[in-house]
Amino acid sequence: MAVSILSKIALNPNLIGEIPNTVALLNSKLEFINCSKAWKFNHEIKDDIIGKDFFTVMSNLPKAFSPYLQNCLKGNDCYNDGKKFSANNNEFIWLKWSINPWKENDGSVKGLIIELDNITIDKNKEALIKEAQIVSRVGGWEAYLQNFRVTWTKMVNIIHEQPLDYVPQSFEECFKHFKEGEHRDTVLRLANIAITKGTPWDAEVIMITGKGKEIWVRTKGRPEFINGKCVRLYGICQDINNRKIAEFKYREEAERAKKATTASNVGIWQFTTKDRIAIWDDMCYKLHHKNPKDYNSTYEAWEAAIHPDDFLRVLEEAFWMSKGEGSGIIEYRVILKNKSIRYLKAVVTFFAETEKYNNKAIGVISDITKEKESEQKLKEYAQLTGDQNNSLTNFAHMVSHDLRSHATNLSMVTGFLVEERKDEERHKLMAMLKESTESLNSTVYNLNEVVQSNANVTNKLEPINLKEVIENVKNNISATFIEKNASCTLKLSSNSIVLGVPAYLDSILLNLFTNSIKYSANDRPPLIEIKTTNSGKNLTLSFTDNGKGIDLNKFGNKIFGMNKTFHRNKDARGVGLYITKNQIEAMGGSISVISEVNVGTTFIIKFITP
Amino acid sequence: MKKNNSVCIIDDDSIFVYIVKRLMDECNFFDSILVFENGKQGIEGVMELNTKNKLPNIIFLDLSMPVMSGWEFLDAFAEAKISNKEDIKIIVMSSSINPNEIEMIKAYPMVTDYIVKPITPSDLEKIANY
Repeated sequence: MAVSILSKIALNPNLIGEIPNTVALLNSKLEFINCSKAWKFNHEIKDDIIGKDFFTVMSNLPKAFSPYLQNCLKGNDCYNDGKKFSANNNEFIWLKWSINPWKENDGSVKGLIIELDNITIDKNKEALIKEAQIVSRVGGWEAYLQNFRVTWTKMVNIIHEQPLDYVPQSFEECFKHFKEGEHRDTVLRLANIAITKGTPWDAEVIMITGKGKEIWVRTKGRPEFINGKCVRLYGICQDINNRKIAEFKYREEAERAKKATTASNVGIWQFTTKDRIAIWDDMCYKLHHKNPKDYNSTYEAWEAAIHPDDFLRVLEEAFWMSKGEGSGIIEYRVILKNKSIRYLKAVVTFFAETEKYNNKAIGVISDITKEKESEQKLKEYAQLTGDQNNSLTNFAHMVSHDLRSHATNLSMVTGFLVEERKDEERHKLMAMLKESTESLNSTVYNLNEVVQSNANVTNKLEPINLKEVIENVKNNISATFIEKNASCTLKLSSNSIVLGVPAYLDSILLNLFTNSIKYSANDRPPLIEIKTTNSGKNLTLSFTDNGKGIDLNKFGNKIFGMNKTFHRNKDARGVGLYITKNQIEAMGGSISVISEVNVGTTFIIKFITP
Repeated sequence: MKKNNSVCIIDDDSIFVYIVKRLMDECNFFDSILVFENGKQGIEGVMELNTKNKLPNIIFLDLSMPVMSGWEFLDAFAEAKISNKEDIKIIVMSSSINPNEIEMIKAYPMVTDYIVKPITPSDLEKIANY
């Protein structure tokens, strides 16, 4: 405030009240003559102050302020734009003042006109902003376009690694700090658009510091227009190098993780239970054998992919998992386009995002078909081993049974023979001895067959013409054929070559023929029909008779088992079919039976072909 | 030895039947003996004896036989309408020492004993005293 006005105020103290500034008038004893309303407001004074001592009223003012007043009472002006004091309440206080002595005509000081502002709040704010700028490494800049005057804050120079007093001397110089090429071009283009069209910019670019280092900065600019002409650009410059580097590192790691999951065929998914919104990565779609384009939503794709028998079970398991442990493994099958089954394993973790309960799940999914298949195979092997073990036990009991019965008969009959004196009885016993010996012999022979049919022959298979085998076996038993008035028709495919062991094929066909004749119906002559069909990979032989048939409901597949002993009826179905089955399976084939009592029996045998 | 007036053997092994008969003869085990070759003949024979009121005291039964096994005979016997069925003692004879089979035989209450072949005079002695 000009001194001339001040002296007028001093002449009429009542005017002071109306002045908008924070002004007070003191006498030479530093007592208030008057003050402005703004003074009272700024210094939070409510009471009347006229005539009261300055420091008594201004109790918050530090005593360190007193020398300035004393100095002014000596006739000096005093001015300060902002000074920090320790206030009486152990806080800092920022004061801004302008003090002029109020003089008599003779030059003696009558009092002081003080303009005093407590600028602590503003100063603190300013400090905070400064601090914030340092912490966030943000600098401000402005450029006047008419005279190309550029100013910027120290922080800009700190970021730029330039001397703190550096200021670019031309508009162009502002841009040379940006990395030549893509980055500089970007900023130039954005600035140009701002100047011509008024569009502000916000971009992340690389700049070269005064020490030649490349760093990432965020540049933000805004144009200011007067009369449709851009007069000023202003904005901020922020050092974002650390964040940018972290971001790149993260991206690189994410990319690496993605590559790793892709390479390991693991899909990543997430799911929100409430709205059933699922998100899949490409691998998830691949694993479910679905194309995202074919479905409105991922959940729909999943519904279409999952095996219908697994659908409800999976939902149920997921529900209980979300209520319970919160994580676990769920397995399910999907049906592929070629109708084959794929087994998937989902590792699931539930968590609560916004709601109180677990409403979101994330996890990975992988193809475990191979594991499942080997597990299945293992089970089959275990089953097979178990079955074989059982049949071996049966076999052992059977052998023991048969050998025992022959042995006891032999020993008893021999015992009787030694004692017997009657010739007639001796003859009888001799016949029995012969019969027992033959039975024993046949048992041992069968035993041998069984053991051999269990042997591994897969690497000893040779191509054999089944037609020749059938005709050969048929010729060998032609006497029986004639005796029983049996007939046989052949309907063989042009190529009847199979892979097999010659002795096995002879034995199998002989067994089938003799069975059909032995179990022929009493009221009709045996009629046998042999058919073969060649699928290229396999040759299927069906052997049909019109005999007594087998009640399969009663015997089922027991007819292929070793459930019956063979010592007394060495050519009965029991062990004969067991051997046949073993021989066929040893050659990589299979045998099944269909039969109707009193109509006939058909054995269907599958051979492998060369 | 206490004499059993009528004995019935169901076994398809003719040599074994000869041996048993000879042993029984030697120890004077029976008055009359009937032999059936399998379970079917056996049950039919027993039914016929029932109508004639000439049921046997003891049936010696083999297990593995063609047409109808000893097991099937036991099932048929259990269902058949035979007067004073509980007076008939059934002795199962087999060459099998399979523990499962022996266990299964115990499940038939009408079977008095299980004898592993060969049968001996002391076995007959024991049976006579049942």
